[in-house]
Amino acid sequence: MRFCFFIAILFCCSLFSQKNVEFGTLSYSEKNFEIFEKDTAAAAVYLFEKGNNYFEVRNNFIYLITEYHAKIKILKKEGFEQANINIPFYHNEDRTEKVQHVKAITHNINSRTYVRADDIYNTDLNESWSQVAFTFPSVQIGSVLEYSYEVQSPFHFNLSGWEFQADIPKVYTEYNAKIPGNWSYNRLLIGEIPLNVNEASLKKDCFYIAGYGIADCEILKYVMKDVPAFDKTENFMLSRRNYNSKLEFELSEYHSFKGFTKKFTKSWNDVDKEFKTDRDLGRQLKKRNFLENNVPEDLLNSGNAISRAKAIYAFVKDHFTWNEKYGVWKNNRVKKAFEEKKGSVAEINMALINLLNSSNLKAEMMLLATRQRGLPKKAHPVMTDFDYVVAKLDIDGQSYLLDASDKEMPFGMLPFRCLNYYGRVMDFDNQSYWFDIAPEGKNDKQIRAEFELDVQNHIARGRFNLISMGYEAVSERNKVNSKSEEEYLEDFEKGIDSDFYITSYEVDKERSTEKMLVQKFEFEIENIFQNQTIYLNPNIVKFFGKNPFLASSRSYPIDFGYKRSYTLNLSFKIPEGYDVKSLPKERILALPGKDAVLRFKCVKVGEHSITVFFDLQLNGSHFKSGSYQAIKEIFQQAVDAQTKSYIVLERI
Amino acid sequence: MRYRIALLLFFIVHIHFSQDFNYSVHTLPKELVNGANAVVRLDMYKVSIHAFDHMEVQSKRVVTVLNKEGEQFIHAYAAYDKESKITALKATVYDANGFELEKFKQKDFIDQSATGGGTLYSDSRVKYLGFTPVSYPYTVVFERSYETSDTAFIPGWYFLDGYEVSMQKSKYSLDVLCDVPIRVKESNLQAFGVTSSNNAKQFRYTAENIPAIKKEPFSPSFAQFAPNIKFALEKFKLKGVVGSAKSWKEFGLWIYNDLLAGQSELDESMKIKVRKLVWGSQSTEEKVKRIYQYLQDNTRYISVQLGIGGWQPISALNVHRVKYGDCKGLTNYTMAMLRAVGITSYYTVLYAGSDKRNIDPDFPALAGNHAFLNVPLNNGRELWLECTSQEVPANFLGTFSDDRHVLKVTPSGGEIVTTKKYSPEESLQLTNAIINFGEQGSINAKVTIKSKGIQYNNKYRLPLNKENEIEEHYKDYWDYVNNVKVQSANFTNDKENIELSEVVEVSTENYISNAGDQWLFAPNMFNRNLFVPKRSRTRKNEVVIKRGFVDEDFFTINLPENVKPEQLLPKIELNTDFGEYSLEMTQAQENQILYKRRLKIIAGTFPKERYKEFREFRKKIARNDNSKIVLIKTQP
Repeated sequence: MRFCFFIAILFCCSLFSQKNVEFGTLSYSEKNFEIFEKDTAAAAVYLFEKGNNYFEVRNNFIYLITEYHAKIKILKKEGFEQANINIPFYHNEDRTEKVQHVKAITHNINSRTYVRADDIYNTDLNESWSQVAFTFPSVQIGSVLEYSYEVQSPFHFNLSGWEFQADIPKVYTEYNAKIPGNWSYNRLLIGEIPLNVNEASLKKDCFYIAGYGIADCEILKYVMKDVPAFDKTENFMLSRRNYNSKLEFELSEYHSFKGFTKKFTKSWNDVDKEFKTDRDLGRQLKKRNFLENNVPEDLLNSGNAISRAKAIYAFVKDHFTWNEKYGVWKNNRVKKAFEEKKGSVAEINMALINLLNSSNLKAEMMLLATRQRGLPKKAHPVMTDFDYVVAKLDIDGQSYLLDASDKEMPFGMLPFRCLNYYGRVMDFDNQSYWFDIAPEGKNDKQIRAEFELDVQNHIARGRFNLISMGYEAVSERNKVNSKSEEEYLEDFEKGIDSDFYITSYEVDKERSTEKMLVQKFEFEIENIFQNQTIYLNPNIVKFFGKNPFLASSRSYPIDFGYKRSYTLNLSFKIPEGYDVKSLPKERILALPGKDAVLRFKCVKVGEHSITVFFDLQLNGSHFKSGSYQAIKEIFQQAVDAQTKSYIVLERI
Repeated sequence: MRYRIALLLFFIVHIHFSQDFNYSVHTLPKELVNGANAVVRLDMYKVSIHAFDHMEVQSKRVVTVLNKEGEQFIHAYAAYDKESKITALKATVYDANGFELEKFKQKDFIDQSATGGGTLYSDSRVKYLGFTPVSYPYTVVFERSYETSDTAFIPGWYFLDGYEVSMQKSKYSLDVLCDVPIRVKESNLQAFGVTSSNNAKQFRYTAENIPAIKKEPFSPSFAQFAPNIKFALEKFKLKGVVGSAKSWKEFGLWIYNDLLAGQSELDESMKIKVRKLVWGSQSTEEKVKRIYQYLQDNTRYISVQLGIGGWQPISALNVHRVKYGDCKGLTNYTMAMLRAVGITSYYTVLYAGSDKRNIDPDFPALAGNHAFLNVPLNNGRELWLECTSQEVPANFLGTFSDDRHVLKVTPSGGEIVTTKKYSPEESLQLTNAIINFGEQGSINAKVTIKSKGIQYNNKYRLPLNKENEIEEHYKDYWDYVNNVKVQSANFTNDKENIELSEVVEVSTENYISNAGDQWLFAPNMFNRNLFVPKRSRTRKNEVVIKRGFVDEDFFTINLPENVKPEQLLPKIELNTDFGEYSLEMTQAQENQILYKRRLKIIAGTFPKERYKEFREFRKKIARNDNSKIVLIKTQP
């Protein structure tokens, strides 16, 4: 027993003995590695990856140094793209990062081929970024691609952490940092994969600058082993940043040897104070005079609070064109943007806040992160988590979130990209606070239809109303506006069937509102049946042609963004001389708690007509990965109900 | 004397350029706005050739953008590199009423590397206008001048920029201010009313009021019917290399002597290695295939474009050292290896891509965007080798290089030859399926698909995909079979006969539809052609079907004991100029039915009046492929 224990320790230590891996040599197991057992489909795998961050004084400057070393095994031809390496580096007007000591070797069974210096290219991408690029020579299945380099950076905030997970698996990935006490970083481990090594120790007097002082260092080491590749992204998910295994650092404080302390991330209290006077944020909210003088007088003064707010929102939406930038932190100029009639999301919404305030309405700036960005951390302020600004308006105890950058967005609704749970309201008079983003609750698509069968000509003729609400109205309006009416109708027809024709179309302007679009269609379907017995699928419009969920399993949650429902109410007359032989079976399916419900039913009503009812409701917008199979099944049943339900009518 | 002409010309142009223009959109003729995403108000281009290695280009372009789609026609960018220098660059944007919105000087343009995707490094760069419109329409006036020593490409001219853009006024002038002879080729000018007044050294073209042309499905390629002119100097310079040519023969000779010569040396050890590779080969063809296999197993495509390296292959020795290269480098390397064993092969330049763009046999000038290799065999046959692919079999052209004029470069000069055209019968897909019903209507099926020719082109990469991607491919291919489960998929890629075989086992629980106590079953379970082109009330363009193919399908359907078809589908036979379609069902045994289908699509060009007929044909195919039969349960 004791003996076994000893072996176990030995085994464990030999696994972690990758301490000082010398460049250019492969271990026995690296040389003979053939297959990554945990993911046999992998086209390439990191056998070894190591990063090291520390600070060093070079030529009288303190630089942040990043050392990187990796060995990638190519297992399949599709893995060859891993041989193309880009190392981006940042510069501003004054200073630049430097990528240096690039070394790269392709290891094949009987040969080693170096990348030569003249096969390494330096390209200026744009004013802030350049890149060093090279590709490995003689790449074959079985090659091990090894490379290392150093980045010397004058930007101390660029110590940003370590990505443990990538698009290919990693056998071993290690991150080290030696951080002098002068710098403090917030750190956070994201993702569900546990660390195999998590060590922190203190080293005395490790960092000194002659004549200024000496500091102790924190020595950090983190290791993960057998990290799987991150799953392919699928429909209805939040940012992969929420799930991808990563160690995040954010510079919080710098204590200079000269005695001053510079805070980078702070408490929300500090942030509030700083933002209040920030040139790009707080001060942009003080442009009331300018804006008041440049908008129609009665915009700010006539009507009650809510009607003024709506008028101002409509005015700002109309006045500005969004330049497709979010622009939260830099170069926000509300005045200039107003004059040019275009600007970033931040500029447009800060103009909106100014005008709302001018109209004596309580409106504040709310910072949030888009769905793509990932959820902001709540533990402490991490400003880089945020990438978006909207307005929060309060009238009579009711809150509204407004974004005037999207011309189709109804009052009180945020664009889909913003439906990311919560944001921080910058209340400069009191204190900032978290505020939940509650998406519009009613996002329905309803179809009411009736039609008649022309038995002689094998044609169905009828009409339907398509009513879209909330986000469904926004997306349908975007579809209508993005093309000509003819193209819109052509695409609509094509989405249904090659024998389906729209014979008349109009938007019901009287019933349509900001949050509701009512469209009226008349249609004809040719060749709807062929024989004496009529087999008829009454689902003339299908909400989904196929199941949006294809993957056989899913390791991250499903997020629809908002609740929604799809309803079809249809009736048609049984033609003269026919009667019902059979009706499709009823389907009722629900998730526990009725978060998702499917109902489908066909009924004969009276002597001469049939009604069809289809209803799919998603009463929740977020489902844990454990519900994936159930959600997939409900969608499958919904697709089947719409594509495979036949009413049989028989001659009498 | 020459100076005075030049001065005078400059003066005239100057007057033109400063002539003020009403940038309001309200004066635009209605016929130019109809169906257009942008109106090119003025397009002026002035080329001055000062010497065989010195060209100056001045241009002014005024574009009114009517909607977002129209932005692609602004063309406000300027490329530059070591040989080409931008001498003037500015832009002004006007609103719909013709009031100035914003001015851009050269330094306001965004400067970035012109390295495209798939390229490791390129030394060409571009400056472009970054402007966000507030509303439509608006007008951009863009002026640019540049000088270059690269005269191998004399900018030609399209009087219309493409589909869905109209043109109000287009003026092109070219002056040869030196003694180098120049050639010109004009195409489709009359049909669009382009006027000209030319002599041997001066070329002037003007076109006015060309309305937008609608883009329609199955249209001919725009370049085929658009009015255009092109020029070539008989003596020119390209990235510092001097050349001259009056014919393809001479042009090819220049490529051979100045760009290829000396690049295809191999060292002794490599030569020995290549000889070992072909040891024991029975024929030249086998030797070529072994060497091609070696190339495919050992190299990969990486593009690096540096100076003349955009046109000249990197040396075979270099490719051999790093085992990567672009199309030129890999083609040249293969040529060098073949030469080491005494096999002659020819570097060949072409326009690659599914559009079948030709190298113009009548107009020798720098052309093409790709290179591959031609290997003549002794019996009059030849092999084509695509050297950038690790998968394509020897002598397979596919949609990338089939049926077009290409330039073969030989030691005695260039030669225009035509690559293979695949007949519909050569592009055959043969599907055999055995469909077995379970008691409750579940289905298991074994499907065998063999693809050749152009259909091989669509499939040969399939076996390289990951398991889940292969499953997704079939779910997508048979997307009308809801929830199809792939049990197994096996492939045989026969590179010798260029045929891909797929053997797929699938199952599905709910393919059939219940209609009371009957089942509705669509017998075409594994090859439906449901594409129906858009309806068009006013077809304007000819109908072009680029490539033909044949699909043959044989399905054996085994029903459960107690189930019988009510009626089989009637026999269908359609014969049209666009293709043929036939369908036949027979009852083989009590519980077994056979489904036989054949679809042939014929490549061709048809008058616009026949579009409706073509659409009707495709519609009938879709309808018949979707047809269902009723299955009756005979016992409880």
